[in-house]
Amino acid sequence: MKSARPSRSLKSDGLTTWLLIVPSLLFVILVFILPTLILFRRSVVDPSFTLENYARILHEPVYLQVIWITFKIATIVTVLTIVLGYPFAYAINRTRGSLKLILLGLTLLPFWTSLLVRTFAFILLLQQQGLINKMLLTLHIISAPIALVYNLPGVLVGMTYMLLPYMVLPLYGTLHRIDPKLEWSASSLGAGRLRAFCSTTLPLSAPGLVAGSAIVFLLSLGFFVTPALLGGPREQTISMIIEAQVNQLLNWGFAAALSVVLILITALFAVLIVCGGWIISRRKPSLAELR
Amino acid sequence: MKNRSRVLVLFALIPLLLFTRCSGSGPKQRELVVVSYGGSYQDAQRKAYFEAFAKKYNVNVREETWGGDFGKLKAMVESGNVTWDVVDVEAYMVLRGAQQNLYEKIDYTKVPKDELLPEAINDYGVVAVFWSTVQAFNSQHFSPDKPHPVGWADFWNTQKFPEPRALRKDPVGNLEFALLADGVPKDRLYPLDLDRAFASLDKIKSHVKVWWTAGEQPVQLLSTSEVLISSGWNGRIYSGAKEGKPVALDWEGGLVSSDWWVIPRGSKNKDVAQDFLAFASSAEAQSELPKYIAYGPPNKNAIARIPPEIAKDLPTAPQNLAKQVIINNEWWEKNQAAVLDRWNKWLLK
Repeated sequence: MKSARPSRSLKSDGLTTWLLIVPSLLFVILVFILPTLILFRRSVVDPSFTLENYARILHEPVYLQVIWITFKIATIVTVLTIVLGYPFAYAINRTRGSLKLILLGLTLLPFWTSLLVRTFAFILLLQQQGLINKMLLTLHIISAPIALVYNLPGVLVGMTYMLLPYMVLPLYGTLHRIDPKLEWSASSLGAGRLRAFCSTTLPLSAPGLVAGSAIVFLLSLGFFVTPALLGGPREQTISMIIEAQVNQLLNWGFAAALSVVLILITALFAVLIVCGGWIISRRKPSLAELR
Repeated sequence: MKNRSRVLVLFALIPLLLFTRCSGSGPKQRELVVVSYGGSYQDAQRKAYFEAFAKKYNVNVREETWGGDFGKLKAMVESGNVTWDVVDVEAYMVLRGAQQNLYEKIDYTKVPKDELLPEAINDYGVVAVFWSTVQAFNSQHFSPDKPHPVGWADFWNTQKFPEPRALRKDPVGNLEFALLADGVPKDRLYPLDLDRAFASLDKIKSHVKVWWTAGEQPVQLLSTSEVLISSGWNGRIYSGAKEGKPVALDWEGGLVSSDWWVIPRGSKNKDVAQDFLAFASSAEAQSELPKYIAYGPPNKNAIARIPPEIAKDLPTAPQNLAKQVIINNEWWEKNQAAVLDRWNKWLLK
């Protein structure tokens, strides 16, 4: 067989790579980095050249409280998506053929309707005279309707539903590439089903888990419609506050400052997640090493 | 292979092509883009104003809806790319927007200034309608034997009326209602005593089941019996009742507010916009609107023309006006930012 000759020198290979990257890089700089820098500038220039917007965030306890609530909700939603999403992704991985397609289709189903429509649909499902309460009453599981919406459970249900696909898909992508024989060989060496799973599949799926958690966590920090409609007075997220400042009070300098604080905290978490993922990958063997 | 890398480079340049714009030719007929809040309100405005204006002045009237995202209006004016010509805004937006220089001045040589109520005129806006936030209730649950709450002291009385209730998730209105419930007379509400208002709100907080945010929510909540008493906008309640839903309202303690027409600064069809405002403020046009929705017009001649069977459902009818309070927009414009902070803190308690 004729051996493939080197098609080009190393120098033109680098040039091609750069030409491929530059347009997209320009796009990202133009529509993301530049506006973020403008946001930074606005937060210290509007209404005058001071740091008074940031001083107000630190001085007024309500803003730190709301930031804390935002992160609390994001964390709980992430945990819920892991608990619900992992078994589902595992199940998809184990099925074949048309059933697999159906399950994947169901995962993507939430994306087919707008967020607002889905949120209102949840109000209909969860309200006192809604389907869920009516069903539980008919089955005599409860004797009086329970409050499932306009409180924290309502927000959690709504947000978990919206964000589940973002957990299932990366997880599925990682689980898909894990050789099923590894688990089988672990049990052939004497491990029980659970131990076989925990010592082989679980650590290897860590990258997918970290990726999914990162996406879900960071997306839930920005959620605003769902907590506003499904939540009660105590479910105030920072994005709701920013929206009021932008849309009612027209205080864009302060809104920019709140956004900058949110960006900085989010960046901090992103860095922590990446570091965490790096540490995990150093301690456990990767898929590449096992092939 | 060289060909392959060339093709790859071409693919990489495709994103740049997305930045080129195609220009089209403008329409020949005069255009007007008018923006309002959608729903039954905009349907009524269409029947009373937009269609008649389009026909009479031979203008292509395009409608858009918005939810009051004031930020979008500001962004549009600041960027210089104004696509809206006439916008229906809430009262506080007129004052705040005028401060930030977002509007064109109203041409009062065209708009019939003398025919309008004095409260309906501003350099930068003219009142579109007067509407009220009132107390609404489920009309099947309450009956002559089981009378509904009248006034805000009743709403606050959770012993006499243990029913689940709803209020708007906004301090505007709720502070006034809290003070009225606490016994402050209607003519001595402003400036609002914030400490007293929030203390009064503390008494009702745990009994409010839903804090509504969308205008249609009170009708929906009352129809499904999720709550049985709620605050709400009179036009929506009236329309809901007309559609057969079990909702009704009481005028006692209602808060009269207004919606205004403004012209964003830099609008491309300024002259047509001024013509529209003149038309929409005329007596003939304004006497049409209450036929479709229960909001009060500011034109004095129009008010005189409305038949009594329609007039009785309008917030501006004298017998209804006597039971209500007119909101002080200037006070809210000055204090809204500080009140909102305190309100958010109070919600989280």
